[in-house]
Amino acid sequence: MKVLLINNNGGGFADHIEVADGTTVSQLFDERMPDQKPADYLIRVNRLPSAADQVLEAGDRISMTPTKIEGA
Amino acid sequence: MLPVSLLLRVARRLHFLWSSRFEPAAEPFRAWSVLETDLAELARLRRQLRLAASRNLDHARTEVAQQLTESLAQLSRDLNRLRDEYETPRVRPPSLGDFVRDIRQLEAEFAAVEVRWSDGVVRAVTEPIVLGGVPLGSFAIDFHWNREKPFLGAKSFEIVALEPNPPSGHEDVTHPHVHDGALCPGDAADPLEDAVVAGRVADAFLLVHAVLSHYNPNSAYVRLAEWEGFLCADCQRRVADEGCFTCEECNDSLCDECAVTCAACSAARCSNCTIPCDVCRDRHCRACLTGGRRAVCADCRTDPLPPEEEEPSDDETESAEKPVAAVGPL
Repeated sequence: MKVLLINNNGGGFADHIEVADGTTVSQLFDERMPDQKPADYLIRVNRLPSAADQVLEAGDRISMTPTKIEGA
Repeated sequence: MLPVSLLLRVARRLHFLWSSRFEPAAEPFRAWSVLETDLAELARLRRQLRLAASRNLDHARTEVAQQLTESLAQLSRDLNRLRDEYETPRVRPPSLGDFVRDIRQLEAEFAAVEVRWSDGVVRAVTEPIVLGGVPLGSFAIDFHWNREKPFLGAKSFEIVALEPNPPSGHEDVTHPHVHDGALCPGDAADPLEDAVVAGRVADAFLLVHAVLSHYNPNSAYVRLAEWEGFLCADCQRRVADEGCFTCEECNDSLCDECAVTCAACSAARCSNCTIPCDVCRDRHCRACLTGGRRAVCADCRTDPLPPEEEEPSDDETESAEKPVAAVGPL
């Protein structure tokens, strides 16, 4: 199924991706953000806070935004 | 929460701005032109093949057939390119509903959200921010939609300190990464620009907040270690508050290395408010030195000057018998 993933880390990414049915928020995070900790991110599904075990649905909008970024 | 009428009004305004910026998908004229050229070439080769066959020109027919095969392969590739032109998803501006939902998300993520129509600003207020034990107060993150170029990432935003606590001598630095209201986004620059260009307003505000919530000691306008304390008026070093001396004459703040003590009255002074005795060279307040042609402290006036330092002159002898007026403060 297709979902919209917005990754506000690093260079940024915003596009539709295919994920397997039954994929949870935490599974998607682990897959797309290896070596990162969920606690360091604001993870929103359809602009709302989500549980780690929330199962994604087709058309969901998932955003992942770091809570702390180094300014200059 | 913003009233629905205001929410819709600002969402329409933002939607109009972003819609104006996005260009409609252009027809792929070049790809069509290439296809038309391919078809013309194929038609020519087809006529040649028929002619060769009708005249039993086997060799010519073989060559033209080879060329026709290659042209058909080229046509296939060009058809795929034309198909890709129509299948590539065009970037679309956010919908009115997207802006409505983003503003509602802002209200959920921030302490307060305002719309300032006269300034052309959507404002989100942060919680009080403390970095490295230094309280910086809360900040207003202002997105300016009326700026000449409202789609320039961090430059679309102004950061306003609502309870400013700047370091002394740097009133325009209200946060280690904010100077004169402008955020220096650092690692957030690229995703922030992407978010603003794409109209992901809530994401843009959250990225700004993420920079305000973190301290990068390697690239700060003023380091937190130097935030509190004061700037020595003489050497311009930043010194902790406990090492502060104040000149009792001009009230300048001084570090312990630059503070001078009058050798006569022991008052704390800066170097500008003291001068050396012409005899002993110890620094004194001007009020503690006698004037005339030489500034001399009381101790040195008591002790006779060495003979070689006397200046032989009738005028000098006469003036020495007269009372010397004390040099008052300048």
